[in-house]
Amino acid sequence: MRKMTLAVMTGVLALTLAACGTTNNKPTNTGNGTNQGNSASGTRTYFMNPKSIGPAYWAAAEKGAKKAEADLKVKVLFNAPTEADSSKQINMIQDMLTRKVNGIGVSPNDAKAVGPVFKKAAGQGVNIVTWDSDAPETDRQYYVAPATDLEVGELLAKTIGEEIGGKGQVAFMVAGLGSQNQIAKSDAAKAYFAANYPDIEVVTTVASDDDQQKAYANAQNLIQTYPELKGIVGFAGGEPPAAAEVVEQAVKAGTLKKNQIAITGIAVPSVVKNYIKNGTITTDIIWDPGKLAYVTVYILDQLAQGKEITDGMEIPNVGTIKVDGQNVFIGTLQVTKENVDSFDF
Amino acid sequence: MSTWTSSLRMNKLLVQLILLFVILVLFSFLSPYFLSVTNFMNVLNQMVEVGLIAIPMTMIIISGAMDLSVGSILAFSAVCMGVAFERGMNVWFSMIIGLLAGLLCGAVNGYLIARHRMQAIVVTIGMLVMLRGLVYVINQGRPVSGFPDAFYFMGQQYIGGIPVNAIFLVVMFLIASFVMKKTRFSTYVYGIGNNEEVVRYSGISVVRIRFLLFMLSGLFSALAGVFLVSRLASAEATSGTNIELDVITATLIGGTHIFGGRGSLSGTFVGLLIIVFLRNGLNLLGVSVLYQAVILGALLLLAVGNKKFNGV
Repeated sequence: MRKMTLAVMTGVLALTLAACGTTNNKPTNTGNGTNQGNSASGTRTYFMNPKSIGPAYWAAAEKGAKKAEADLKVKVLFNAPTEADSSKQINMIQDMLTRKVNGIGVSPNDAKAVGPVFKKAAGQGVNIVTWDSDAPETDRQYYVAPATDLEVGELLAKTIGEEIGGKGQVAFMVAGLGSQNQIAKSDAAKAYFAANYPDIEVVTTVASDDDQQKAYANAQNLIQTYPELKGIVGFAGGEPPAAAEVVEQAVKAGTLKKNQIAITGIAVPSVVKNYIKNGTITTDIIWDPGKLAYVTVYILDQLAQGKEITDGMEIPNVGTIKVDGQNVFIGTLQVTKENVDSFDF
Repeated sequence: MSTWTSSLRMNKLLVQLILLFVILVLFSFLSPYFLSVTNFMNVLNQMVEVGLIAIPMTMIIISGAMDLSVGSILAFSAVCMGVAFERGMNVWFSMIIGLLAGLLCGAVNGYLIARHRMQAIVVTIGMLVMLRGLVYVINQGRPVSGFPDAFYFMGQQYIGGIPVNAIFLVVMFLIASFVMKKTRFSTYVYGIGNNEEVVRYSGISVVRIRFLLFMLSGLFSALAGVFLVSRLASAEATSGTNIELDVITATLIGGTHIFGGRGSLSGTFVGLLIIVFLRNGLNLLGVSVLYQAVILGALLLLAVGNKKFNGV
């Protein structure tokens, strides 16, 4: 008998927990049963699926998705596994297809593995848009990204070129030598130097394999090996702060003169805020993950209503977007001393 | 006295079934999408990898040990298979290579634990870390895909409306359950869990039984890896991360005693259904994964607490 009581208690507790979880995420719980049948005319529901839940980058994206939810008067579910795990992510997408959401925005952990589930979604008439990370060769309809790798690479090259006065030695720091987006960006930067700053020499490209310790060691080696070095470009989020930290320490130790080495790259503003304020980094390139998520929800909503996505279309609260085939670009931001405090991510 | 014990064992399963029933009814009320054939088939399709590994895990826990390396073995087998396929091998032959890789890992575990009497937890943690590292070494973290369509039959197709991999899982559970009820092997496994010395002095090779159990665990982890590759159409280095937690949770909710000697595969199966339906139901409701973890953890505490209260 005691066992039975315990079983019932367990069940009730699970129920209570589930219920409180639901109310937290679903303010219109009571309308749940009624708005299912007429989901076409009622509230449209979208599932926004980042790579994982936890990192600050995705938390900023969630804010943008929730803002879109309020602005567009739709329902957005923002969820992902706690670790960047492809199979858990796909289970979640399958569950959302069962729920018959009107569209799904995915940042796939594995571009190939999402193929079957995207095909299933397309079969059910659910629109899929990838964002932040693409899955080409699948049934996704659009890919929302900040800019092409070419544009970002050229922008970085232009920035560093201006900062060092158009001549001297520059070193590249990348996350992975084999990573496609890193190769594309650094090649674009090299091509830009060749065309516009022939006096700039790219002395080396070092890779950190996304390891912060290694990025730091790489930067230390760079300033040791190349005493004439005038600039460092970091092509992934971990590189510019590592370079800036090493340069600041060298300046403090007296081995480098202040502003002897210019640094630019891609990094989240909150991470490089102090380096920008100290003047170690003059310009940092970034995009707003919140806007990326906002635009994704907006495009899903347009698709669900059967509206077209056109080049140069105006998205309220974001601005105009560039559409190239199935790619949607929202543009990048330049972070400088003047505006660094205005970013909340 | 013996009737009393058997009724107690029946009861334990009954408690789990009631819990499962409560969860099913609850979610049927909360979400209109929950109670549908498509959703149930979906859930069955998703539970296969955890379920396959839960079979040897239950046996190993009953024998008083633990295998934490299963997730890494899964990834190792999947990636070995992927790399073999990439080198131009036939997909079925690559699959066998994957299974052999898993068997080999299991054999290493078994050799160290059974033959050299090393601590199972320590050995398998070592393997967990080492194999995960090896996985990245083998393919530099790149996912392998592009398998032929015939291979996806295992993870993506349905026979009579039921996923192929779920049918395979149920058959495996039935076979294993038969083995654990009717054969001498099972007597030895329970015996080792209750009192290893007695089993040894009865002239039975504890080393061989333990070795066999870890081999089985390696093989089933590899099978899970193969089915995962077939379901996701991609062999990746991160697959199977933390799967051991799901497997052990299912086993413990299923009533298997963490110190060994007691437990059943039917219990594990129900425990498995409980966690997959719970997760699926919460997903359908749009509950954040962060709350899901809290709920699952609370459930595990209650399941274990349940046992404590009854002095089992």
